[in-house]
Amino acid sequence: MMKEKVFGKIFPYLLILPSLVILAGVVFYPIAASLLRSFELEEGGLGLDNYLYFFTDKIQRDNIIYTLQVVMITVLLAVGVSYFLALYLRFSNTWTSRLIGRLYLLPRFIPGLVAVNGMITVIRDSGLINRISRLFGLEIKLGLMYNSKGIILMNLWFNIPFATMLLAAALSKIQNSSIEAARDSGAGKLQILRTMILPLTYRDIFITATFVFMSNLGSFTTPYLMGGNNPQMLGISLYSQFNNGHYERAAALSVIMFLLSLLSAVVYVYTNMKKSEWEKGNG
Amino acid sequence: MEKKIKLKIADMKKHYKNGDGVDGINIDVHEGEFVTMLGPSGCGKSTILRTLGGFLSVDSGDILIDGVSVKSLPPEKRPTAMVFQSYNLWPHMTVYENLAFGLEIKKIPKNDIKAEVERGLALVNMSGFEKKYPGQLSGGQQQRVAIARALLLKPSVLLLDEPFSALDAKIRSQMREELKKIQEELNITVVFVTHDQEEAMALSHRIVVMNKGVIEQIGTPEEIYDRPASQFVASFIGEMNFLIQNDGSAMAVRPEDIVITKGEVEGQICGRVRTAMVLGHYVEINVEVGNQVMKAYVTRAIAEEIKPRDVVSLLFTKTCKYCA
Repeated sequence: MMKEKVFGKIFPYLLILPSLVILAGVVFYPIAASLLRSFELEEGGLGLDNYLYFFTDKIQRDNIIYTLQVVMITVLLAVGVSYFLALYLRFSNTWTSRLIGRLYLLPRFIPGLVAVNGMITVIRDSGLINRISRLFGLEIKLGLMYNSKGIILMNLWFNIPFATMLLAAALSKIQNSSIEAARDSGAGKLQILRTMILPLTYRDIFITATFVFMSNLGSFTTPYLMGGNNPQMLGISLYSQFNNGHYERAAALSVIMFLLSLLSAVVYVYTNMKKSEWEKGNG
Repeated sequence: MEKKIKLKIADMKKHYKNGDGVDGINIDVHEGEFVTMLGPSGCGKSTILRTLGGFLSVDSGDILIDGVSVKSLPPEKRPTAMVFQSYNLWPHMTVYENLAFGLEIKKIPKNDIKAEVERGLALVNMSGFEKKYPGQLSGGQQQRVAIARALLLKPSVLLLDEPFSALDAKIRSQMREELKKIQEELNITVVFVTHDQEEAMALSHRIVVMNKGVIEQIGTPEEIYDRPASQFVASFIGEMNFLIQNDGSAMAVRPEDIVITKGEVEGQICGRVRTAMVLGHYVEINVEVGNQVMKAYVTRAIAEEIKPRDVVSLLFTKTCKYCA
């Protein structure tokens, strides 16, 4: 009897044990190891020097600021464009909106590396656009390569479909009769956007923004292929620290990137937890 | 004295891409009149209501309110207010904000809005609920607020699209009574849509019975019930027995217009009792006549004499006849 009882209590833990072991081995241990490593100094001993390096060294500091700039611009543009696209898909019932509704996720199905290389062949200064312009006797050089513009353009390619998907789902929850009742009360289109649609979806806008922020903060492929040498995105910076054998600095930069991501994770959790008064319902 | 025509629908037509729609709609609604569009789902009654509110455009014909064509006006410019079936209130606004919204758009002074909202809530017995959110109210309470919100817009015509169909039976009949009271108090013009014939009979001055996109009959509840213009109306409104005649036409008789006598009576239709069911103060008797079943309502005193399998005679005190 006793034995059965004990087994019954242990059994659930046995079920999660395999995944827990794997998680510990490939996630928890490396994180803990990197965290420890980040405090180890190259000349021996422990200290914050690896962290200070990224905030005192001008090149490294510029990299952090540059990365945050690129990511923030990406967030603003991607969420902004996606919101309008999602509004169009939700409220327009035309042939074109239905077509776009079917196609807008297509970029998600193209492998990142392929997409980046494809974009490069179109936009680089000797690319498709330049060649076409030369047919008309023009010499259009877009100047999008090896600076932040190209990276942001590529980020939009990757993030607009994703953000639109999230925002379209949020907008689809708004009842048609809510909008119709507002029109019935005399509200124009802008008033409906401001007083109905935005308040009902602002949380989804924040959540979408945090997702876009996090996924772009550590991006590698795009800045590696399209970015310049200085300043660099943090993903590239991390790669070069690692390649040059600065494992402790690489560990410190990983922690810094993790903390930056955490910042938006906090926003995400906060907006998710903070239910507005009207969503609480009865009791 | 002829009453003023408040709403005129003239030869209106609206077809959807799939071929459904309404055709040849002519309805005059007088000031202070309560008119109900009644019909099975898909008959076009909601289509008409949505064209009145401006949520659907019309293909041809015209809609006049107070003698002015509103056909090409968007909902926000029309002197109508609509109460929808459900999801009616704005969930992120309090009851007060829901009611004040339309008034704020009209740029009415704050103090006046406050007084108006209080008056509106009192009218639907919802005083004191100003700070609640729709999610904190029951379905019936939400519809009361929705009705108040529509009334505060001071519409020329109030439109209601199956407003009570999501509520349970008891609340529904209570709301029905209250709506009737409010309509009479304020003497507002109402166009109401329902598929519930009892609701239509209870509320309306006149009923528009619709089927497959056309009007079958317009009349007072008594006219519709006593003199249904078509076999469809006869079958849709209330209980009706149809006795198919030799020439293919149908004789229609209401269950309460059948007198049952035990045994065979000369010149009357004979049948055998199938079932007798007590439904409260009256009894429903089903009688097999040939291969058809006739339903009759009788008092309990008469029903005591009649048992299943008895042979009985049926006398019809009132009938209607419909061609094949």
